[in-house]
Amino acid sequence: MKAAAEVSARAGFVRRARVARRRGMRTAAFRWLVLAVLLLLWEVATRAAGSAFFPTPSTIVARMHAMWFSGPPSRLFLTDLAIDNVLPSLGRMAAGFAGGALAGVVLGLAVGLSARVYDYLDGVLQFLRAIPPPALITVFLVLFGFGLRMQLAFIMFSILWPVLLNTADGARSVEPLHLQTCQVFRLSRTERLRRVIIPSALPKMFAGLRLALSLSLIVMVFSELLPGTTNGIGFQLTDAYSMFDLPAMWAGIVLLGVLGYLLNELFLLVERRVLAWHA
Amino acid sequence: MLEIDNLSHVYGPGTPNEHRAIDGLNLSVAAGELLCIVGPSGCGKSTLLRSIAGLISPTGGQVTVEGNVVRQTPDNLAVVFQDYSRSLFPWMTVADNVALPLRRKNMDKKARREAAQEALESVGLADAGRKYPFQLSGGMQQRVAIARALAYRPSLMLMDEPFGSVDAQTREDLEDLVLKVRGHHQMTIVLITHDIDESVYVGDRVVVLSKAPAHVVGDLKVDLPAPRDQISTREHPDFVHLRAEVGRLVRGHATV
Repeated sequence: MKAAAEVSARAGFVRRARVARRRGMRTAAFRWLVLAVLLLLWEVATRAAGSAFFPTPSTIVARMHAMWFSGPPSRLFLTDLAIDNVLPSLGRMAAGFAGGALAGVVLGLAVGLSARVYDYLDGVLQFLRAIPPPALITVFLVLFGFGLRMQLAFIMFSILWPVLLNTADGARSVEPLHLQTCQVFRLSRTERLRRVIIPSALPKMFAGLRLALSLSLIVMVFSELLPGTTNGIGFQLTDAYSMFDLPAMWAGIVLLGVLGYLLNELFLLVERRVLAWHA
Repeated sequence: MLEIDNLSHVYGPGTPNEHRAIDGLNLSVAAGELLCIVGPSGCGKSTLLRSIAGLISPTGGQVTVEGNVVRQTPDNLAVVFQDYSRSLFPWMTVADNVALPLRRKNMDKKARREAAQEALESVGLADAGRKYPFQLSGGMQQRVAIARALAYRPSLMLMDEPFGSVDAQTREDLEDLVLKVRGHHQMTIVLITHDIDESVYVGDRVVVLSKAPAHVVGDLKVDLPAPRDQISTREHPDFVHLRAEVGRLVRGHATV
């Protein structure tokens, strides 16, 4: 009887999974359709308008291809320009994200582990988080001058807060019964931190990291718009604009959108793997 | 094995919400006994269990386990909580959940894995080790929680309304499981329940608590033929008689 109940439960599980998958496929198909329709409308509208400020999407894509993706196959079709501009941007973003995320997680755990520290610092942290990072750019220029060091510090500082606050929040909201279970089985402090508190905080930590990822793209571009930069997508944008090369500027904008989208998808992939247990 | 001496606990003393949960409770449990504590809802049963487990410090009296006054959770004590879904760790496989408490027992990885597998087998979940708790039914999750306690090889196992959140059929299965595993492990079990029939069916002895503030109002020895059986034990005249007596004791103090 029990075995039968389990079998039917599993059958139900499989069936639900199949239905969900089919629904997911239909949603994906519709998503592409919507994208295609929007692109088509954009093409029609810009052709009809014929404005130099708004080149057609086909022009933009052709320009993107010519600028970045018409290189030799041995280099994954990347052109010199792509290597000179796109890679440094991604490098800055990756280094800034990694540094800021690591600091955010470590400090967030430190703050979240103590209810008292959390209560004392919460207001200050919320205040710091509320300041739009670009407003602080002068401070960073004074501290670090123009260049890579300033850019990295700026990106790290900007994304530190969402990661820190979310991690602290996650570390604080561990299920009380989980903590009591740790206490009953007398887990050591390290075991409790490693096996219970950090996993409990992971969902919120990931929410903060995802926010930080999109933010790091934004502040990366912003930091490249400043003088003292000679490469990067942001630099390419200002460069194109100053030479009134609007298709190149739009190509940069579209590239940023595509990068943001792909990075987010990649992040979700990782998140789904790590948080598979978190239904 | 377990001595509870004049135990009292007041929540929020001196505040408008002051609540006396336990008042002057005395209880003694012998090694190897399976004691059921039954009492009306909200009578302080869980407070009692938490005091024994060292999860709260009672405001008066003391608890002694194997001769040591309880200040933190005693060694070799395990708890099975009612709420299995919030007591098991959802990010760990079933086997990892069961093996986790063994980390402080000087066992290497292989020994831990074997002990976990053995405990899972003894609760009838030999094949569930690689699954995650959310992939199991409620009754199976509570079996995992019991396996976790068993693998730990406690000398005292506390069970806080362990079958309160499962359906009737599963409940009976789990009751029989407790009776079965106690035969294989040398341990004392204190099981808290609000179910009168369950207390008589499972226990060697039933202690009835009053409504809050809790103290002992009845202490009955259950002398039913072994092995117990869900059908024949429950129709045994002694069972019927005992459950009526426990019922009267619970009810007599349950309503004003």
